[in-house]
Amino acid sequence: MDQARFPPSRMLRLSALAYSTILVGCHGAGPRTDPELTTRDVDVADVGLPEGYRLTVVTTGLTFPSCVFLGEDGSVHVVESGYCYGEAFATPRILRITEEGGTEVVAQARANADEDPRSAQAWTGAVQYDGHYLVASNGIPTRILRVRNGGVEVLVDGLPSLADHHLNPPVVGPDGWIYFGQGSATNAGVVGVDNAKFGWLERTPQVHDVPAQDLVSAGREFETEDPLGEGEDDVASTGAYAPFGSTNAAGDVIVGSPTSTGVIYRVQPESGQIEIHASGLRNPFGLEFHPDGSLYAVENAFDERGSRPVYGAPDCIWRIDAGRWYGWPDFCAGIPLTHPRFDGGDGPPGFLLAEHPETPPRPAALLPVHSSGCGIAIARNDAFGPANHAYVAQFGDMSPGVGTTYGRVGFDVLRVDLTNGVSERFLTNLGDENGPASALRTNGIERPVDVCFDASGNSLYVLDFGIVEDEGGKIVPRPGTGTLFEITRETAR
Amino acid sequence: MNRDHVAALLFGAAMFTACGSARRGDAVGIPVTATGAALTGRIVFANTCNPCHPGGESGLGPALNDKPLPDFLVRLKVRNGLGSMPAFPESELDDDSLDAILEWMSALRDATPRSPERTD
Repeated sequence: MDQARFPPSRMLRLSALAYSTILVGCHGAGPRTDPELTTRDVDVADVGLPEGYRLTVVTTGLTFPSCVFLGEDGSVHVVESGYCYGEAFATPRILRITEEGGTEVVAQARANADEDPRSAQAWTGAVQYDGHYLVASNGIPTRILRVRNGGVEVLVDGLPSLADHHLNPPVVGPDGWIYFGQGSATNAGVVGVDNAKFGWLERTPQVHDVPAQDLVSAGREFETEDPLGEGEDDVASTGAYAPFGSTNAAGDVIVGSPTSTGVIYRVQPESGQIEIHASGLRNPFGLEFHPDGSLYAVENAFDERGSRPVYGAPDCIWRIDAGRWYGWPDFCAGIPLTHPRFDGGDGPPGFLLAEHPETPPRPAALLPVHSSGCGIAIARNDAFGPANHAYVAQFGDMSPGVGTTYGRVGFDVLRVDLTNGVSERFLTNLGDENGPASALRTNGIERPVDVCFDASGNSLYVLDFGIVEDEGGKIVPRPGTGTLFEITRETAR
Repeated sequence: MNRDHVAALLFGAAMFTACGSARRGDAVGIPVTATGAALTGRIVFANTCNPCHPGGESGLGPALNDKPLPDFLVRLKVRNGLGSMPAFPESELDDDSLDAILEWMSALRDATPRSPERTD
């Protein structure tokens, strides 16, 4: 082979090919459990913790749980969302956990039905405030509900949570307002075939992201196959913040809205007054107030999918300042998407916007790419561990649908020093490999989705969503396999 | 060395670095005893390398904690990138920080994993 036929770029491609070829054999995906499985054995001896901590099972048999929170009396509550990606439906409900580990239903919606997904609701999370449960209820439309003694009142209506990411679990702020993260409709600002795959596009063909403030388009268009078209060869061009098949020109103003996607809202719990607290976020799932009063958010970053795939995007923890813009859809963790580190093979994604509201800050901590950082709890004293450290539930990767990896990522709880970004694994399955218990053939943890300290700060609850598998690109969750754990410190300080 | 040789070296390096995830780091808690530059390196690693090589294990990228690569090869790879790994020029990662990362990686490799131990 002569040198002229083997330029440096070709060499890099060869190396990349070597990696990718090997990768296929490294981290395979496929069904690992019985398709009819709706129960799961749990053995805490299969789970590792630092010395001096003990893990116990509080309750099992949960279906698609997404939030654990304390009621006003300190009692533990779990929200079963009633929905999971993969178009799996159940009944959204809030359970109070009894001292014996039993469950008592304190609120519920009607059961979701497979045959009518447009009417389905997903309760992703709740808090209790002044005797009411304030619930993030996703559907068409998405609402914030106030629930008490079986009575349901709509506090906020018409939120634009119609596609990839949801109105997420809320938290009560020190100002008495309730804070909710609202995820983006798309992976990276452009509606694409990936949105059709999840069912959103057929359900709401006009779905698209909505910015919090007026933005100026760079006029980019993305051509894809047209899943809404009648012909097999139909193609469509789609632009930033536009419905599928619609575009905008360079210099066009994309009009902002007070009900937008990719933001953190704050809501006054009596009046329902709603404000945008921060914007430019992709999917701010976990929110938590630090003892010093500042708000932290765990953000799920870009995937390598859809019309504008982004390679190597780390999830992160932000310290949220009121009114700031955090960079989505043109920055990841404060780094512009023009950087070559986000190049998955076709060049960096580049910018969708001609101008940016501001230069976004850098996050408090970076989390592993595709780890799916979710719930966060911050120690309020040193009874459990170092004060002011954050504990983050990592749901675990959904590879290969979101991008390929060399090894499984997440499926654990991290402890993160918010002062320097250093993280360490705190709760994980034991063994030579990382992964969910169902893949490791053990009875450990599956997919941690939320964490919450008890009222004293002496113990940490860890909510495990249960088994979710990727069967050849189809997400298959197992109802009834969710579990609530409790971690206690054996030698309390 | 002609470009064929370079290509072969890169291909071999790719083969060498891939699928090295069998060596898992310490399962839980602070995994490594480190002092001085290694402690600084831990912070730089967390904010630079950890997203793709969590705890030195495989993730988006291959594992680092089972690679007895000499420091000069690690420097070469960090500065020039390889395959899907981006290059980190001095403007993004100065020499002192890279030195500190190497100290931390050395501490990671030397640490004894506790992870396979069951407690029951």
